[in-house]
Amino acid sequence: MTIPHWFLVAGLAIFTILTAGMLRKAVPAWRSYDPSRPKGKPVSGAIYSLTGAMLPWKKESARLYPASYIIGVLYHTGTFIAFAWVALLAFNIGLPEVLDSVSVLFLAVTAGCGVALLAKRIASSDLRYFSSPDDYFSNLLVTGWQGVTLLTLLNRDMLSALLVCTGVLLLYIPFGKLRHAIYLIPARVYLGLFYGRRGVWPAKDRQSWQA
Amino acid sequence: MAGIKMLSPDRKRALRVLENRLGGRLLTHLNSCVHCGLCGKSCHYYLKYGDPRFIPGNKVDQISRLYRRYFSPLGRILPAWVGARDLDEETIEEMVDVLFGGCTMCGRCSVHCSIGVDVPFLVRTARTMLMELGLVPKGLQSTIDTSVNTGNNMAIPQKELVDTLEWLEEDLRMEVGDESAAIPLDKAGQRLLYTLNPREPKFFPLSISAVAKIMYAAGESWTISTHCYDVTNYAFLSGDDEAARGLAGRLCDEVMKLKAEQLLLAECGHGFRAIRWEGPTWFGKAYPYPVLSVVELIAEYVRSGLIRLDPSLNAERVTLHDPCNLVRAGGVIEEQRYVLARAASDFVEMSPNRVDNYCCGGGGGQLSMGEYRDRRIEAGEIKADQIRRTGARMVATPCHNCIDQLMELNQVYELNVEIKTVAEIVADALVLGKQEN
Repeated sequence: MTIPHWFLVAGLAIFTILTAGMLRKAVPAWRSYDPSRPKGKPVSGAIYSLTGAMLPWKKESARLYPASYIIGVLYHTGTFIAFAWVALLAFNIGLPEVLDSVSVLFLAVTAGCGVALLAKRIASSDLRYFSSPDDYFSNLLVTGWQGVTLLTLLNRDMLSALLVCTGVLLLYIPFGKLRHAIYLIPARVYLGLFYGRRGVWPAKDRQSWQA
Repeated sequence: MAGIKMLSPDRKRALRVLENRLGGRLLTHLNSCVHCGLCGKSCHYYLKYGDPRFIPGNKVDQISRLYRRYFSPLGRILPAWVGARDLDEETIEEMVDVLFGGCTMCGRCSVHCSIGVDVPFLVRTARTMLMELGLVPKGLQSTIDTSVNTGNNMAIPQKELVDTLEWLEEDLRMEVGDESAAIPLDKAGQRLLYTLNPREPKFFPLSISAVAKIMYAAGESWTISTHCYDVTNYAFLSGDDEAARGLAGRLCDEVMKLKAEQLLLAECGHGFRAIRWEGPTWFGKAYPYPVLSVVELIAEYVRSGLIRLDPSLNAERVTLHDPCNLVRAGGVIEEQRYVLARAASDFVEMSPNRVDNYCCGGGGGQLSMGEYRDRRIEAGEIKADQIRRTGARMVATPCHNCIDQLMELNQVYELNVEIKTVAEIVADALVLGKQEN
């Protein structure tokens, strides 16, 4: 294990401890927060919130902004791909070369998406109005890290830099706007429980109500 | 708690509201917004004005920036870095304007949020903080005070209510041609205890007549309490949990006192939400009896054949406005459609509708906050356009708050429509004398 490896391990350990602490405060309340008599099924609402309600044609945030939606999906997919590569490279697990090439191309696209989202935030006066330095930095951090992953795939000598970058990213996630990665699923579950209990989600059609 | 010690006692109290609730649902939603701004076009205020202050993400930020400043590690050390703000005069002023004057807590943004942030929940929590600072807009606060002090939000004396209901009972007898037809008052042991929106006895008695006629047709066992009947709960809208609990508690006590089997709520969106859904949270337990909206009851009457309707008696085109608190936050979505499709011969939907429907602009206590009147009417233009596009001559809505706003929109935007409750349209379509068969 090199020092960059140890740095990554330390970053991962701190990230895990902090994330566990945050989730411990956020999650257990889901059973008890609403004692009202249900009209629908809270759990079905939560499942719908994580599935059907996320479909792009169900949400105006996707439907009205198809370009932003596609760019966002690609960008986040790039993050998952980059994490997978960090794990593989850190443990020196080899994959067919063709996957390297495909990943390089894909990460070039996803990092480009990150740049596009950053440009949008800079260009839009509406977004600038309630953006903080953290919003810009979080984007730069993830986009830059995707870029370093791409470079490492092209040149394995960059591995140390990638491990350090990943450690920094993991250390920053619990503190800034990137913490949404930790709270996304609980947020959708809470919203789903709320609408599920009230019989709003899953969305029903008229026929199913009359039956 | 960096910086809290330096604050005045009322500001400390406001932050305690946040601190005491920091866990579970609140903590989750406070930490979830990514400032993507894609919620903007889901908000009728932003659609109308294009002002970034009204982007729901910015409304979330009104409270999450305080959370970051006083309760998050990075916000304590580097507040500017994470957009954290002190609870100072400027912050408070913006909170009041945006959260009371620029949000109806309709929840449309949450349904369409890319993350799933419960915006109205956060806005209401922030309103609770403002309530601790004594900054609830005057009109809204005085409505609450009137409810608390007099038992109903319009300070109607009991005698005046009784006179009105007795007069309506006489009318009912004449209309149905049956001397035994009644509006039972304070009668114990009935199946249903029915509530009223005080605007009904004061300004819209026909909506009480409509319900009484439906109850008569269905042969229902019901009663109205003459000293505790107010379905509204403006304290829910101001964020005052203690007052809200007290107001809801009165109705609950009345159900027990009159030994009714169920609590039946009048056509009032926020009242339904407050009592049916939020009350159990305030009391920490579920009600021992069912609580339902009169719209749900009427739908059951129609479905079971207990009442019969002739849609040709409502020949004009009818459309439906979905009250946010009854529909999106209340789960009464299909019942009113089922009823109207059978009570009117030309029922058409607005677009969008159901959970996607736009707020009329009068929710969240807006109707009682005179200082934001112009904004309320201007933001209501989206609803006016929705109505106009249907070509309807009549708009049904199961909410008296919405009715008031729609009546004003009708006048300002010259829609030339009639606004009615669902019960009024049903009462006009009732076929009496056949139900015995």
